[in-house]
Amino acid sequence: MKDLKQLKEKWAQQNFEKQYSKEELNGFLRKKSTYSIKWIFYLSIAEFLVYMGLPLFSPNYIESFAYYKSLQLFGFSIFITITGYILLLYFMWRFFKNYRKITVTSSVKEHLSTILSTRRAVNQYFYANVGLLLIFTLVVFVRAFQMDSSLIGLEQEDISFLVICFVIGIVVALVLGLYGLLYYFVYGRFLKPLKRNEKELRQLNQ
Amino acid sequence: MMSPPKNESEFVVLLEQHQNIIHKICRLYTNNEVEHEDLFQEISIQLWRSYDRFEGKSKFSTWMYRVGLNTAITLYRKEKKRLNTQPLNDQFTSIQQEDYNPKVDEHLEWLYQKINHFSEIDKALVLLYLENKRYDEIAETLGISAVNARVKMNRIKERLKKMLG
Repeated sequence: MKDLKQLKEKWAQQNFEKQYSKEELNGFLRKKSTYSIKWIFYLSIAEFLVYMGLPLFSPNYIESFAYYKSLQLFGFSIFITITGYILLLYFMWRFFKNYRKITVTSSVKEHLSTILSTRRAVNQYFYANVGLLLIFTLVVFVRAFQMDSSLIGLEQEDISFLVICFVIGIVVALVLGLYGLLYYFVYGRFLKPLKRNEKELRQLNQ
Repeated sequence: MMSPPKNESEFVVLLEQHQNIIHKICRLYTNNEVEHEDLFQEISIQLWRSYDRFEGKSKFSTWMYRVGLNTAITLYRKEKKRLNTQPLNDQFTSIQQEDYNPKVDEHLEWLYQKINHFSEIDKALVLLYLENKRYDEIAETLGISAVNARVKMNRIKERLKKMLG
């Protein structure tokens, strides 16, 4: 092939061996889509329902508030819980907005931008949750070592402050690690396909 | 310009008539016939789902490019089956695609193999160039300015020219 004109001619003449019949095409319209954005929104609803159902399914949930009360952290625990719900509702709203906005009929650039905005929202949601969890865990631990008689006992048994800090650090890291893993497997699965889009968008803007 | 039919059977007729557009997109964005069929199905689903938003302002075929490319670039992923590494040479590329649509014209097969490692956007530009789309249509499909479309199209033409030797 010598030039672009010839290439275009060949391109225009090409025929695909496989031609689908009306019946086959009809069947395709009934297949399940692999569209991933909607799943991020559905997952946030599922997460909200789990949070709402937590007091019903976890027998220690209410008791844990009594423990926070004994540490004089009742108000703080309620504040963190409510902030968690507000965060979840706020991000659910953002996911829903993106879900509605994302349409395959928009231009490629607009489409990529909305998808990336969903990805950013999920990342922010993760970091906001991690931050909240970290603050809550640290405050409870510090207060527990000050006020919980069973933990104060440890200090009296000559267990150094550094060892206690080390134990707190390990526990916090474990909790955050588990939380990170959960998000990696739950949301990460749906975010992975969106990751590459950033590069594509950059290329379009060049 | 035809007004859009509102029922499924009429949509399927249009889909059947224009299926080569989807085949071309699938051939560009997939590496084997299984993936080709998967992507074809996904594009058909997305076309049908968004069909009520098709107002007939543009041609049905133009609208198909947009939905098809959006689906191929952003939604459809078969990462595990794909080889994402850059092909080392032509031999590698031909091994990767050796069982893909063997009856296609040898020149076109060569072209498909050459552009297999292009970026998703460059593949879209090649498609729109070879389909003889106007700059304003390219700009509208990609969501960029007509000037930018012209610049990008010139770059792609140069790249293709170089490939042809």
